[in-house]
Parts: sequence; C-alpha cells; structure tokens
Amino acid sequence: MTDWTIAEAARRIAARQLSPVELTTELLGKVEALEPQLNAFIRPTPELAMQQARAAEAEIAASGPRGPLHGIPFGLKDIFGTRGIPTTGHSRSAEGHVPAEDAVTVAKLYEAGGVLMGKLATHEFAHGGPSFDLPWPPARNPWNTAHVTGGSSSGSGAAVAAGLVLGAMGSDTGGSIRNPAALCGIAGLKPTYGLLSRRGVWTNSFSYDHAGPMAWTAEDCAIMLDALAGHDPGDPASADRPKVPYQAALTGDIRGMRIGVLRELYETDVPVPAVARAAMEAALEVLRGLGAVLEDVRIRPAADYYAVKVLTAESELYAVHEKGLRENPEKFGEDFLGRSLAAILIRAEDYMQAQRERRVMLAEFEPLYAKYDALVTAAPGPAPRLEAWRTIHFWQKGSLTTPFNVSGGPAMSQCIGFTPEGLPLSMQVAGRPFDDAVVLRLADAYERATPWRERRPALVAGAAAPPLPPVPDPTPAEVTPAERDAIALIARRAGLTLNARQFELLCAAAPYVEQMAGRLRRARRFTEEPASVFTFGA
Amino acid sequence: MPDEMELDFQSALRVAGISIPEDRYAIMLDAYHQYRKLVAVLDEPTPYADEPAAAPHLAASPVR
Repeated sequence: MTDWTIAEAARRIAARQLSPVELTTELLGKVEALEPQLNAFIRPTPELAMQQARAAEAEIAASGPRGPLHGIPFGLKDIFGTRGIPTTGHSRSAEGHVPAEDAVTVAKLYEAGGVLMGKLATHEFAHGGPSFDLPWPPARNPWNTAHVTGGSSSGSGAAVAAGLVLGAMGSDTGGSIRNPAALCGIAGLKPTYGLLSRRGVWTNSFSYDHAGPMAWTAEDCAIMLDALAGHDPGDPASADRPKVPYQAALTGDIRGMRIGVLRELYETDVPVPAVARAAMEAALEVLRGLGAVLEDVRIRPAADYYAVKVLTAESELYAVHEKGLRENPEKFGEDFLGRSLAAILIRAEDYMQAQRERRVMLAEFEPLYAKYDALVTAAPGPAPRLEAWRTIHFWQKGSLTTPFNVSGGPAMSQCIGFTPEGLPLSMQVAGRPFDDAVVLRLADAYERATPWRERRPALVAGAAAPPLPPVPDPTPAEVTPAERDAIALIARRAGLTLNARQFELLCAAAPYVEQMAGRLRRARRFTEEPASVFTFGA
Repeated sequence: MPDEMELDFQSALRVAGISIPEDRYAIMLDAYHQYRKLVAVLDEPTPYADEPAAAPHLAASPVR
C-alpha cells in the first residue's frame, strides 16, 4: 500500500492519476487490517467516507478539485462535534451524545471536500489519559504498540502515523497536539490562539484551548490550515484578521531567519534523554546549514508556565464538567478524576493570580518576538511504555509544551530522528502570535533537508498488540490527617460524593495544587490585570 | 443543631482559616445564605459552545 501525504495525493487527484474512491477504499482496507492493534478509532465512518469520496470523484470529474483537500480522507478527535454522529470525548459519561451540528472546523473540512474516515480516540475529554478503564481502549503508538501515543489527541497521532488517514484534527490545551505528534513522529501544529474556531469542539479550558491540524508533514498541516483558519463570530475568542496563505509561504528558504534556541528548557529544566538532546543538536546544525542564525535564549522556568496553565485550565475544566462530577463521578475514568477533582482545591484568588501572572508572561514574550523570528526547543519523547503512566505525573512534571499555550503563539512538533529502538524524536518550533506561516516555513524547510519523512512504522496486519496494563492504584497521598480532613470538607462543600479510590486520587494531587498556587502568590501592581480582562468591541 | 447550610458555612470558615466574633456570627451566616442564593443560578452548566465573557484575545505582536 502507498503511504500518501495530503500534498502528493492532491497532486495526483488533480492530475486524474488517483481517484478519491480508490484512495478511500485503500485506506478503509488499511483501517480494517491495522486498527485491531492500534485502537486509533472510536468510530470509523466507512459508509459516510465512501459517500463523500464518490461525491468528490464525481465533482472533480465534472469541474476539477475545489482545492488540495478535495477527496482527501481525514479523521477527527472525538471531541469535534459531528452532526448525527456520536461525539463521546472518549468518555462513558457522554456515550449517547449526538450533536445537532458540525463543529465549525468540521464544516470547513467538508466544504473543502474532505472525506471523513471516522472519529478518533482521545484522552478522556481531551484531558485524562492514557486510561485503561474507559469504554474504548487507549490508542497505541504505531512505532511500537507497547508504548503510549502521547495525548490528548492520541488517536489523531496514531491514525496519521499509521497512514490510516492523511490528516486529522487535534486540540491543544497544554500540548495535546504537539505531544502525540512528537511521540508518533508526525507534524502537529497548535495554531495561534483564536486563529481557528473552537465552536462545536468539547471545551477543556476556555483560556487555553486551540484546535489544530495533525498530518505527516508540515506542508500537509499548512494545507489543512489554509482550509481551517478564519474568523468565527460564534467563538468569543476568535480573532478577526485577514486570511494569510500558509502553503504558499513554504518557500524552503530560511536564510537569515533569526532563531532563539530554548536550550535550558530541555537540557536542565525539563530534561530530555541524551538521545533526544543529540537529535536536537543535529537538528540545530541542519537549521544553521540552511542559513538560519541561531542563538541560545532563556524563558522562565517551565514550572511557572505550568502553574499558570494548570490552575486556570483545571478550574475551567471543572466548570464544564461540574454537574457530571457531582452526580456521576463513576462515569469518568480514574485518570480524568485524578486531575479534574483537584480543581475544588484551587481557590478563586489562585485562579486570579494565575490570570494576572499570565498577563506578565505575555508581556515577557514580546522582546523575544521582536528579536527572533522563531523559537525552537525539544518536543516530548521518546514515548514511554503504556504501563509507565501514573496520574500523579500530571501534577509532578513540568512541561516542554505548556509555555506556548500560555503565550498563545503558534507552536508545532516535527520529527527529527529516531531512537536506536525506532521510536520518534521531535523538535518544537514556536513563533509570534499570528506568524503561523513562519513556523510552518521553518518546519517545512527542515523536513525538505532531512530524510525523516521517508520512514514509516512497520505495521503487520493481524499482529497482536501486547495486553493493556491494569488501572494503576492511586499514588499514596502525602498529606497529614488534618489536611485529609480539610480536603474531605472541601469535597463535601463542593457536593462531591467520592468512593475511597476517588478520594485518594484527590488527596494525592492536593500538595501539588498548593505548591503551584504558592508559586504565584505575591503582591501585584494595579497594571497587572488578568489576561482574561475583556474589552468591549466598537 | 446546625442545619446543612450552617454546617457548610462553618466548614467554609474552617477551610479558609477564618474566625468570626460571636456577635457577628448570625449576620455573617445570613450573608452566606444570600450568597448561596446568588450562586444557585450558576448550578446548571451552560452549553459547551458558550464561553465566558472573559475569554482572552491576543493582540498582534511587534514584528522585528
């Protein structure tokens, strides 16, 4: 079977050398052959795919393609609303949810002529996971099915890497596009906050949610972005800006581009393994060879960004799911509960401190934007094994990706090599808000200069995936009996009825919430207004 | 015997580490009752597409 990119398939379709029906049929066969070992899909939509492929074929035969996505098979993380098709968030709590409307981004992909192959696995509600106690198993990494895909856009990463779809939609609140893109060896772009509509996408965090494309190459992400970007008056955070061409910006020329290297972030702050550092050094050398000017630069400790993001985003997530958590906590997976329940420990003043600190951080990025065209740093990886995951890691570890959720600027992951065991290694490229084209141009130039896009996972139809690990027990909580009593009081006041395991998950997270809040408690000037202070339109 | 609301009030004070002079207790408890009436309207979650008024916007950055 051929492993297509969107760009190549589009060229062949336009030249009448490839038919959307043939392409879709081939990929549906691939899904049938490989899905049992990958669990990338929650719900394939083969009938809809064939119907859309036939319609695309007829229209292209009559009047040519609408654009490069016409007849191209894609997948959707199962938090993107699809009219008449269940949209579950990979959660038992939403098993029966069938949206009445398509998400705006889904409608845009349909308008561009895309062919929907199905709804893809996600960490529960784009947050908790990998989980082993949900109605559907977690997606597995196509490079080694004993390893995680990364999340939360887990199925999107797996399906694109395995070549089951040519592009997929993901969402990124703290790294959920870039993390699976990195661990699965594909390209994934978190566009600038507000560039893509999130209307019809299940909310994780109002302040940090981004929808974005995931595909095999940076060029394919650019093609998808061309179809997806645009103002949506129905999304309160949507930016009203003129359209910019993205694929056309991929000139391959990055001579003179000034790049800040966030070396400290991945060498000492959130240290990556030696093999990933070596891959980063080699990647930086490639960029120098292409004529870019590199210079090491520092930002704040990752823990600062992480505290700001987590205190805000967990509060917002809890506001979305509060009723369900109060009435039916057993309908959520333990990993989701181990993160979201702790939001009851975040006080209103902590949330406001986080929003005020974010405003300071946004201002701190401005001089970097003035000095550099782009920033690069390592992406997460290589992918750990499935049984290595513990919920408490979410609270304990800083993140390589979160600084750019706080900045709101564009950031993408791309493959820069492999470990000796064959797991992908990746780099992040970040940029100024609304300079998504620059980020894509840099990533595309790197891809053209390196051989990494030629290597694909070696999957064998019918191969068995290793068994899933059991649901891990909650990590013992490091809290005193008095603190435990206080947490029980807070839970009671929040209207939560938790069983012993759920209460242990909450207690285990408690010291980390306090630690994060403590990082941000300080006297502030009047001018340090929260990042979310709104302005009235004209 | 304190009712459910008063127990909530007392636990809120404990969690926040606040103590109230005895002569102010009744009026503060009444204020807590009023506060709970105010927040009751927030108990039903809004549709998923509805964002808070304070959803942030990014301004364009300076280009070198």
